[in-house]
Amino acid sequence: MLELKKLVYVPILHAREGAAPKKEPSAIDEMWDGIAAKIMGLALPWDKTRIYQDGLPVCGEELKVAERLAESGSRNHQLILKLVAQGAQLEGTESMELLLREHDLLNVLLMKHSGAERAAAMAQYQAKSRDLLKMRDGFIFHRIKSAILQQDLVPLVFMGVMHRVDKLLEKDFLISHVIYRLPFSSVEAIYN
Amino acid sequence: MNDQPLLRKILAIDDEPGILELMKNLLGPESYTVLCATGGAEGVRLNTLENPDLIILDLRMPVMGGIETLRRIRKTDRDVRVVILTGYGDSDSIRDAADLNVSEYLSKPFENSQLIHVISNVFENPIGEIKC
Repeated sequence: MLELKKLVYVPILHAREGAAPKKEPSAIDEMWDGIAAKIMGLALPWDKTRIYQDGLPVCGEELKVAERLAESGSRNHQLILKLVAQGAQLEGTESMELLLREHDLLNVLLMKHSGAERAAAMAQYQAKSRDLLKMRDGFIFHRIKSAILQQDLVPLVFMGVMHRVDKLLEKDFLISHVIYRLPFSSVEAIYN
Repeated sequence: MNDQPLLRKILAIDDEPGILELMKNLLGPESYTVLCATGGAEGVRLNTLENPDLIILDLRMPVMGGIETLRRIRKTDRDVRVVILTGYGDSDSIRDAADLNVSEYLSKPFENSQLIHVISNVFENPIGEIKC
């Protein structure tokens, strides 16, 4: 029987990182500390590890994008840079065109500030972005499968909790989920 | 007149008696009243009867799993805070948890101090939908 290749899947919550200095770690900080400790504990073969990141387009400038986001305070991207320093390689993950469409949808939502308007806009965002999310997931799945299956590599996938990429990948890979804590009540809303 | 402050009530639902005992021993001294249910059906019933402030719910239970238990609870109680504890987390249960307005999804094993911290953190956040 053919042995499935290993894939490490990390479900994440997107949260906007606050600009103001914080006195103590937030629940989101703790989530990332826990994820980092768990990933380091896996002792992956770093030179064979390929990182796929939710929201990171295939653009040829993937590392620069991650560096910029890490500098602006993203714990997610700070961890990615740490893993890259260990020898892992960051891969472009998403279709630029689909990400731009998602960005446009999100912009419409974020322009609405009043409660009722915002709630209606959120409902619209969720309905429209559902189909878009399926397309994004399909792109990510093919990207990972085509790059990894023929080679002796380990994919490490950071993906928002509403994605279903793992459902697409589970036929071809033995998926190991890395979960520490997901503090849903500490985020204002769940975005795709 | 009784001027004792009202203790917050926590309902722990888990099929492992050892975990329920741990919850009592851990959370009782933290000034929580801890109620225990050894299965989903009992948990749904106790939630209706006792109206707890927070539920600690195991995902993997025989007969009625954690997600099904929570679905039944949510039919009559949209507001109770819920912390899910699981040793077998996967994306499906995470998405279900998000849809069912769970406050926190915590992976086993966990440190006792971590659970106390998470519960206190959950009580700091207002009750309500996390998704608009």
